[in-house]
Amino acid sequence: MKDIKQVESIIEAVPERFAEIIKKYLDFMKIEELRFRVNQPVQLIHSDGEVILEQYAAFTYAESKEMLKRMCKSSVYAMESQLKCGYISLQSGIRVGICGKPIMDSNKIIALDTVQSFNIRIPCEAKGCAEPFVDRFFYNGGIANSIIAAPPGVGKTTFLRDLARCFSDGINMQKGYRIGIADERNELSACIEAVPSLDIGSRSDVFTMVPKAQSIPLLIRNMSPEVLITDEIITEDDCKALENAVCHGIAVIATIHGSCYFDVINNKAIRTLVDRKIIRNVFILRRKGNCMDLDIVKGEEYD
Amino acid sequence: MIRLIVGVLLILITIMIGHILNNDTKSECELISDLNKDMRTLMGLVKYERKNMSEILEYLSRLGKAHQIWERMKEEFKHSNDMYTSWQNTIEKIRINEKPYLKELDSFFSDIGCGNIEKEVEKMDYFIERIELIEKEIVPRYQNKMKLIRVLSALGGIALALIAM
Repeated sequence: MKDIKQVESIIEAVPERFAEIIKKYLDFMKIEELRFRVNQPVQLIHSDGEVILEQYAAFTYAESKEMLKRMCKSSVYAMESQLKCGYISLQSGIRVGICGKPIMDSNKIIALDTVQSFNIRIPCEAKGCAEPFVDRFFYNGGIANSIIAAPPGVGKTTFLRDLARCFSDGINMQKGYRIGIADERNELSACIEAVPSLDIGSRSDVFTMVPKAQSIPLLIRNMSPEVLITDEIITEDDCKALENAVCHGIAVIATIHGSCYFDVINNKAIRTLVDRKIIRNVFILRRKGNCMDLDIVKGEEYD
Repeated sequence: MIRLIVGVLLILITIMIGHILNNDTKSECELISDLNKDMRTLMGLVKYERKNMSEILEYLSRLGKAHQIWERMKEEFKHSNDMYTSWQNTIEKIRINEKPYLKELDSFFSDIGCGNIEKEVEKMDYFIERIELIEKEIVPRYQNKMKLIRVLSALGGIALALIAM
């Protein structure tokens, strides 16, 4: 991990007693996730496995409170909209997943009372990982609307980021495309003060930290993208926003959680998009060692 | 004639000393009022604009009534990322002798920014009410103290002048 800002933001956020050791690991290993759970030792996840910091006392509840405060820069109330969705975006573009006890009102989370676990996910850039697969997204001379599915941790976001870069810069294709990126959780672009810190290509416009259903119409109206890229579509509103983009003649590429085609179509809203041929290709992303593989499970050439 | 001049000078000097002594009290009193006004602004920025603490400190350091304090606190906050530590480091460098007032502000800053917006506003309302009460108590007391110093310094001057004559 080379990005100094990212290392600094992690070190600032974690409890002081872990800071030095975590910094060492971040310097020498390709750490993908840092997991802090109350009353459990800290875990560092890398591509080949995990390191458990058993030599240190377990992460405590008091430390979890302190860590939340640090991550929110002593302004937990200002991060409420993110906390309600179970994450915090650090300024360096790092996303921290959080879990705990929410305060509910009429079946809706209105705030997060206590946090039990943190998952600091470090965005990694794997330039070139999508290049061999770019041609699979074309059909009849145009870009086919596609969904990429994979279970958590395979590298959907990393792959999608590189795909955005390829389309934007015109790598392995005749020309570059104007890309609109709806980056709700700031994972794709890892923007620091609205400037992407990761390479998403020279023709990409990104809307960060706004729900997809709100940012997609804005991107369509204001930036006239040729391709719309977004990560982790889950809700019906997300699907409606994608449908809206397709109706405007914009190609869409999105990711979704799932390990096979049935996982994908089990989501009713996605199934509707696939059945109505709004989404033409469904790919499954797999990781083989350090490489990625993209299988088509539903699409024009597959049918 | 010389004695008369010395007498007048003594009176003037003691009045001047009284004035200097009053200056400290007056500036402390003004500082407390300014801080209270800024605390109200701080609450507004949290409640209505959901600004985070670094944005609030930036705002107050430019436009706050007690902007020197906020400026210092902003610098401290950059290093510590913690309001209480920043406050503690700032207060070391400014002169407020009013202990109950400082105690309230200590509690306020030790607790700020940890909860959701409802909790924060509730806490802030409580603390602001408390510090305003303290201000209401302090101001007349300080005014009386200043009056007393003025009178005593003048009387002291007269007494010294009489002795000298």
